[in-house]
Amino acid sequence: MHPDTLQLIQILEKTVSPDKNELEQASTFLEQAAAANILEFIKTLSDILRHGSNSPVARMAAGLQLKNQLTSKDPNIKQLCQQRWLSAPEEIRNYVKKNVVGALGTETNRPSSAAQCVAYIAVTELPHHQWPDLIGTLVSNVVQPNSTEMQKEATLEAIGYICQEIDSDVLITQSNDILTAIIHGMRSTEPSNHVRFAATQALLNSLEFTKANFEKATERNFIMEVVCEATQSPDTQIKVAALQCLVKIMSLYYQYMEPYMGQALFPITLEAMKSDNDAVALQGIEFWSNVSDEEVDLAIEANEAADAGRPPTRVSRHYAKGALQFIVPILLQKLTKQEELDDEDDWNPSKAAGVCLMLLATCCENEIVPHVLPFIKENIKSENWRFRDASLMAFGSILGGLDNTTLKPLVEQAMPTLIELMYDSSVIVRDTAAWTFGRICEIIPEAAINENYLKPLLESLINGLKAEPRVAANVCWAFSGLAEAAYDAADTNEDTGAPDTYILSQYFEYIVQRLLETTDRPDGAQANLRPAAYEALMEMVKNSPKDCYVTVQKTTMVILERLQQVLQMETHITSHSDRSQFNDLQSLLCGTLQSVLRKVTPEDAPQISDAIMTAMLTMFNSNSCKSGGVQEDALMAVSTLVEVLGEGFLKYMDAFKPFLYIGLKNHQEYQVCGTAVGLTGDIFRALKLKALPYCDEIMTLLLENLGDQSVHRSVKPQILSVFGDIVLSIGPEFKKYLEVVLTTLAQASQAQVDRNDFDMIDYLNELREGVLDAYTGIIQGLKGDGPTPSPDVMILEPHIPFIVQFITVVAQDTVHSDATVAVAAGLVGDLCTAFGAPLLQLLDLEPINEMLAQGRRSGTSRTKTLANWATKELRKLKANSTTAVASW
Amino acid sequence: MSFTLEKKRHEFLQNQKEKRKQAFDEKRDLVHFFGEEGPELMECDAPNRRRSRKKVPFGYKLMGSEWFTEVPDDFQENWIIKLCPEGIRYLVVANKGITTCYYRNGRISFKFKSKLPGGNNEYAHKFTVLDCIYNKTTNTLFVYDVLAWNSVSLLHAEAHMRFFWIKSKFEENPEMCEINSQKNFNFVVMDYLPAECSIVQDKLFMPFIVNDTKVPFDGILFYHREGHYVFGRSPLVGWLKTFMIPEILHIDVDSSHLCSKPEDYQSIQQYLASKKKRKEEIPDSVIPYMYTFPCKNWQVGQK
Repeated sequence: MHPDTLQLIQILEKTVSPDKNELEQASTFLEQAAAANILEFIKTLSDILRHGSNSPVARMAAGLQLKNQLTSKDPNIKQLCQQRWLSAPEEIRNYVKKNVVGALGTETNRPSSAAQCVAYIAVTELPHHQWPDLIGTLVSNVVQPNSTEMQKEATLEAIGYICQEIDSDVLITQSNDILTAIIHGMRSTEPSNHVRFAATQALLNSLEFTKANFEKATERNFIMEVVCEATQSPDTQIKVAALQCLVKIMSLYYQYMEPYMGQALFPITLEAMKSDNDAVALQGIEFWSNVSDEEVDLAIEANEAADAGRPPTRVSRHYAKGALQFIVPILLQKLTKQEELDDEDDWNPSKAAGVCLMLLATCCENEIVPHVLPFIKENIKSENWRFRDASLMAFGSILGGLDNTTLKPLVEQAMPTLIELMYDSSVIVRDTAAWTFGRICEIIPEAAINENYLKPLLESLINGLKAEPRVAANVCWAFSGLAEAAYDAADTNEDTGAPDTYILSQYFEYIVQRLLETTDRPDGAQANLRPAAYEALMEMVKNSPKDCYVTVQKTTMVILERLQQVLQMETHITSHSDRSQFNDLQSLLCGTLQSVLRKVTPEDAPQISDAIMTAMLTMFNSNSCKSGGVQEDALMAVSTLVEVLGEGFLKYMDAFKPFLYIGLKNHQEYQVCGTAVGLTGDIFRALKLKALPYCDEIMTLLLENLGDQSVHRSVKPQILSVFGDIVLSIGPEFKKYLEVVLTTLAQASQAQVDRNDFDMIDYLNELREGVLDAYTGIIQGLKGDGPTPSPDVMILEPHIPFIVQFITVVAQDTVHSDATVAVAAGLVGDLCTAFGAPLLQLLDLEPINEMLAQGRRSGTSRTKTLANWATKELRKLKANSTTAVASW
Repeated sequence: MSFTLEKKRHEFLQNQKEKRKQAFDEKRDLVHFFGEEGPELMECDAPNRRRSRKKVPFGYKLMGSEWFTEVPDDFQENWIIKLCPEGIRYLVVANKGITTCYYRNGRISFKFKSKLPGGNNEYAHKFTVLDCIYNKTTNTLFVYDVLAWNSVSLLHAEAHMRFFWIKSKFEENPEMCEINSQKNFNFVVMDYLPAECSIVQDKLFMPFIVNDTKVPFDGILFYHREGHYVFGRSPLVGWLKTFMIPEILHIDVDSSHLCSKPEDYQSIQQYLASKKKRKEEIPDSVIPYMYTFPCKNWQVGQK
């Protein structure tokens, strides 16, 4: 063996060393070896993996290293890895492929690392139609009678990984072969549980592209039989994986499940739900959650079809409704199996049962009531806290599905008991009671703000604010809902468009005081209590009527004071966790500031704006704004201030502008940059021509950002739209930027994206919306507000054919969004009003007319209105041109 | 935390977009533009969006009719007739300075400014509720009935009283008919006729012209003169399609009103029966799946 190979083996063995130094040495060595000659490195790794005489550790580590050269969790690095592999010489690739396929089944450790190497090469090559014989090789590995257990298992693992990672289109043509191998491994006659498990896992990953097989009754019967059999395996791993397959099959192939439902799926999943093994029970419950979800979707589809007067494409078989009487009792039993020391992140059958009940209620609506109500009545006052809690949980869970006429008396009847449970001896019960109030306020707020119960309810909630953090956090949520409910129910004053008073008015100040105290609780970091309390405070302020304004004013001052205090604490921060708590607090205060500012009257705003702006500037200057989150929240708070002050913001511009520019230059944290861009639009809208002194600098920064590759793409459409805001605000003053902006828009309008990627299609639409927004702003801004278009707009004349061409491209693109249709229609109308008759010939085109027709049918009213308006403007031009001809 | 931050960002961005749209639209003279706005997507009946559904203020609902399959004995004495052009039934509510057309199911169709009490800024604090049929070809809202006028409820007024009221209110203030002169969009109060076959026949042979356009009739409404306005179906309101009139009232109808007659139409009874049958043929979609339980031995397909 080559001495380098021997050294590499030794190094690989050290990658599992407990000695930290050895570990570091090994990883440095491996990095260097990869950097020195990557192809040679990969080749040698495949050799080490292939040869059975090497130690299992060395082989496993070699496989792992090899895999790391083939793929990565980071999508960009992954792409680089794949490109590098595809550009490697064919003989090297063949050599490595031969090694890794040959290694399948020769390893002694589980899971196989060779399987991963095979899979990641396959994932790279198969989409490019390379390695055509791979699937055949893998299949024969599994079905050949003389294959070893390890060989079958490793091969099925490889198939599973490939199915999981690859785009399902690539494998459709080979789905038969793959399925043959998988089903062969899954059969009950397969003696090895390892093989059966690997095969079941592979099936789970392959279900998406086996649609054609599910469409054929004989094949479907066979698959279903094998899966159902696997659910009966005494091996829990196999059982769970097979149940997972059933869950997924139910969503993917609902329409084919009828023959299996009564005889197989129902008894199997019912049995699974009852299991004492949590993993098995969870899959049983998941199955019915999934059925409910699916049937809710089908109900929506049926409604839509009925509205449109056509039959639905798929129909619900109402499996959930029929199963209620059998599954609800099991779910209720599972609810009583709560963990005493609950960890929020833990998922267990008791929590899953709650969610399943919620979904069943949404799906079956009122019909669930008789199955749940007796349990609730019997157990709500039980001696055993588990039963009290379970019946509360059941009550809270089903609320969402019932109609108001059923729900309202039910909740009103339960109110006194629910209030009592807020004082329960068990913290878990109190927690659930508070959560139930949160649900009630959200789902049937009119029952919560019922005058008969309001006072004791508020007392119990206020009391709950002092309870354990988890209880208090749920109470905060209830207050958020209560505030909104009370505000919605209040009578609106027709002159102001807002209510003068509401049912909470007399308690308002007291509640706000208690919430402010809650935000200050020393244990506020637990159970998300502090954010929940601030959130409740924001909702209270947002939903406050006129007669609570004094309290809003006071709260504004408290928040401002707190902000100032917090900023002084800055210097005392030492630890990392202090810093993060401190940052969170600043973000929350900025958020609360926004909600109070929105309520402040235009007369009061200027009186507090100096203090607010001083605090904000201190914050921008401090270290906190090195954290993107805080910087973003601060920029949003300034945005609200701009909105409230309007032109009055001008006096802060000189002091504030450095921070706006810092934000615009924050390419690293693109959300900050995006927020700064949005704020720029606000500033122009508010200051209009008075923003002119800052315009050169801002335009320079925006244009730089557009041209900069390191600026995240999501910011760019926003910048284009903000060009529209700017020109609309400064009018003809924009002319000096016009040439460069038009060039930029022309470039942006040429953008092309990968059309297989939905995110990129969204992005394309956003980008086009931005371009169209900018054109709209330019035309409207230059046209002016006079009764006839200002001559300034004529500078655009040479660009009109290009703009129209772009509208046509958008119109013809089948992936255009409703939002782009709206902006494009608006632009068509604007072009007509700005340029008049000559545009008729340019705009009266088939694609544009078709787009307008589509817009007129849109479900969004603005799109509709704009499309109608544009059509009318076009017609006007047409009418004028015919009159002209007639009179001539 | 990250979830709320994501939500905040989304709201911030949406807010920017809204402000921009508003700024653009302000320059577009859309304020009086009468768009045919359909139901908002957000108001669909998805069960989890229960709360976002818009409701008709004060809970008004349209009154429904029964098939007028038999002529009652007191026909001539106690019944009033209104002819109905083709169109969509709307509940028109003028309130808070805006006039809103609601579909039968309570969804908003479109809004506009009208001169009705409550329908414009001058009388914003008043409200008026009308029962109308909107005919698209003529862009006209035909006023049939009144539920409330100038904040006075007329629900408990008898039919003949309501019809007199609405007719005289529009006659006193003819400008109320105008909605948008540019688009010829207007209100027309529908005449009411005594229940006399000869008069109905004459009316059905006279071309019904609105905004210079001939409008075909879709049917006839029969109101008992003492009937109150009720929400939902009332036995004191009857309805016939035009093609049923010869059969029930034994009068002739101008052929221009018969275009909606089904090819296989034989009689009103047969028509109603087949309509009912068609309804039954639509699979009743709420029958739950029947499980045979308990079921111990499960099996799949044929082995």
